Amino acid sequence: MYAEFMLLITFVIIVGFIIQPLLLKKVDKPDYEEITLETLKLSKKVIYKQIKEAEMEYEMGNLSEEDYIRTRNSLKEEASSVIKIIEKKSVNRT
Amino acid sequence: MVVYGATLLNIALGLAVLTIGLMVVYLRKGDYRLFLAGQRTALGISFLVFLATIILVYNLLKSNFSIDYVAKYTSLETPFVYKLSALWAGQSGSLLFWLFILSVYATIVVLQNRFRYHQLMPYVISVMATIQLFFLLLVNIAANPFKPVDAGITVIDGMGLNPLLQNPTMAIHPPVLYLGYVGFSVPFAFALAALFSNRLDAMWIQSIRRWTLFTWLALGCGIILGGYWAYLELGWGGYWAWDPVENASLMPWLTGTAFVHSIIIQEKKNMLRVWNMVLIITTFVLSIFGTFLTRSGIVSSVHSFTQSTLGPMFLGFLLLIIAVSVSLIIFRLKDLRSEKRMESFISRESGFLFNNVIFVSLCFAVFWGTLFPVISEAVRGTKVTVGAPFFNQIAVPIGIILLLLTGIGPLLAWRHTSRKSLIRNFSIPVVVGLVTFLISFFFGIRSLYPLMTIGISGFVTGTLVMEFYRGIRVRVKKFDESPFAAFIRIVSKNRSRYGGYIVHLGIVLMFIGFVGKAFDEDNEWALKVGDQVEIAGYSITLTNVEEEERPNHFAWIASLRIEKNGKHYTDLYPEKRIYFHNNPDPNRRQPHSEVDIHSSFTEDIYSIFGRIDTETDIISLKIMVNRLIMLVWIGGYFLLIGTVIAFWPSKSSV
Repeated sequence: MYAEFMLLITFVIIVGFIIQPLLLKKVDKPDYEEITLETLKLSKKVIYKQIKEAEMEYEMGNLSEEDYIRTRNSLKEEASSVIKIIEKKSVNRT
Repeated sequence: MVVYGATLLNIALGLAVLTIGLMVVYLRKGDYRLFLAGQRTALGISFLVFLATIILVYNLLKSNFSIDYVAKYTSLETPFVYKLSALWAGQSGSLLFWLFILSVYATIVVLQNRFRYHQLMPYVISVMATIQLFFLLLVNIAANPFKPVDAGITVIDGMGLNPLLQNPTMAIHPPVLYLGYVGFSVPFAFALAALFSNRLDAMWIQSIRRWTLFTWLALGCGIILGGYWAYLELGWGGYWAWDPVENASLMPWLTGTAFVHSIIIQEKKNMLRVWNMVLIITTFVLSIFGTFLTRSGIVSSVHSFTQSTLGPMFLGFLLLIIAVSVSLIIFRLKDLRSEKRMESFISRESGFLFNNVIFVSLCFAVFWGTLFPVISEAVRGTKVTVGAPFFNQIAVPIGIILLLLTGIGPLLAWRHTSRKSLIRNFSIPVVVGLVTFLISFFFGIRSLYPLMTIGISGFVTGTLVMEFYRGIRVRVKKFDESPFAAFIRIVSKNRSRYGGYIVHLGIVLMFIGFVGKAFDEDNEWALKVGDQVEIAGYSITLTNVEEEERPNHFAWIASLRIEKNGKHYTDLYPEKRIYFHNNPDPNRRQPHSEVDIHSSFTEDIYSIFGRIDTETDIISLKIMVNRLIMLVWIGGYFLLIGTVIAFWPSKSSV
């Protein structure tokens, strides 16, 4: 009897917990465009981090000046193309 | 309580189906309320699994022998901690435990990402619910942990836990290993979600980086703890025997290690996107395959604590995962392919790629050797087993190449490394490696592999020390900091990089520890009290043999006095035990040798009490002098510390 009672309580709690969102009025879906922008911003952050890492490697003496300049320039190019896309998307949204 | 536990698992099974259903309908209709309800059903499954696990643990502790599982794996004499660890000692309990850990992970994933990764989460939750569904099917249909004992039978005392499992390490090793095995389901779920949703950018990699590191660490620690348990408990003086179940845990660790490295390239360069998908799917498949090997009994293993007929179900699930994953990868192949190419062969990217190829090759070799008995039986009708020599022949040279790459990788620059940089970065470590090699040769080491390992270890240590030194020097110069403060700063600001270096240092220590095996010595004698023997410069005297009756076993305890250079060095007390000694059925009594070890930094004295002739009081004693074994365990600590540093979130970088 005790087990049946416990089962009933558990069942009621679970069912109540699950159906509660279904009783709400319509809920808006998240903005996917915003998510794409977030991903681009993340890419920008990763590239900036790589520029800083290359600088550190150069200062440590792990990268020659030639390697450092080439790496930095190519990363800067990547960063500027990502920034352009972010700006374009931000303008479209406004 | 028993009915309650079993019914909770029934309801959880229904909820798993409901979760998948809600997510599928949400993806078709787009009504966000369905997604929210699906999130809650996913949490509901976990809640019910937690309750069911708690109920089983409660019954194990209370010795409720009306449950078949409790009667089979515990007895009234079983100590408290081993009653608790009995949860993963048997088939159905360990499957419930698998499910329990999976549910903990699922709960964290759902709660942590309830406002993030909206395009991925419906798929992530569905994939995780599908894995839960499979394990719920197992515990509901094939291996119910709440199954009552046969009708009409009253069990007064249970059969007790296997004596080999009554060891503190064994109480920790399986949960830690499971944390790793099960943990790979999270990156796998995100990978499949990325494929389903066609969100193949860096988002899914970003979401699973920490999970992967944690899981990889747990699996690594689980493997090391397993080796430590084997060393302490199995009484053969080793820690790795290339047993099929050991191999089963090593394989996902190898591909997982490759993945931990290759995701860095995807994160930084958006390259190797197909490869990363293949790697994480393979790693998860190998995790399930490991569980399949342990459960199915298709290969003979020292881990035959649990064998059953679950093999076909696992095989079916494995095939399903492979079929779905491969189809998805083929379907998304065009989108997955990276537009970027390697700029140079001499770059960190190619170093990582080479390291990946080696890891996967080693994994394939281990896979082949492990399954060879099954394959040979299927093809030729006779089971041909390959032993440790086969694995050592392959794994040792590959391991040495991997060790070498551990040193080369950090010295290569991203994109391209010029000749000038190469000379500057490699000259000092190469000199250190050569000097180490020559010193080892001078001290009498002549075998090729130990010499190479020590030389390369010197080279790798040289690269790592140089990396730390150069980083500290930059900060001291730039910010006028003390060397210690600079050390703390470079590590805290570049956690993944320097944490990785600490892990590499741990790997070096482990490899030196492996080399020690080549210099081990051992001998076995029949001794009476008062007899003295010599080994490796130690003089060993059997001073006494005592008898003692303990709660769950009877023990003979040998007292050994160890002297070195004529002076007392240490005492050892190896034991011969008979578990279940009060059982009237002599076949149920289990003999067990409890070893005693004296450990030092350079060598262990490992004593094994083989048997005793109670009429003549002559005992069989084996002594092993195991060299450098401590370095293997210290390397394990470095692995732990380094990964925790790499895993810890960092707010800023240099």
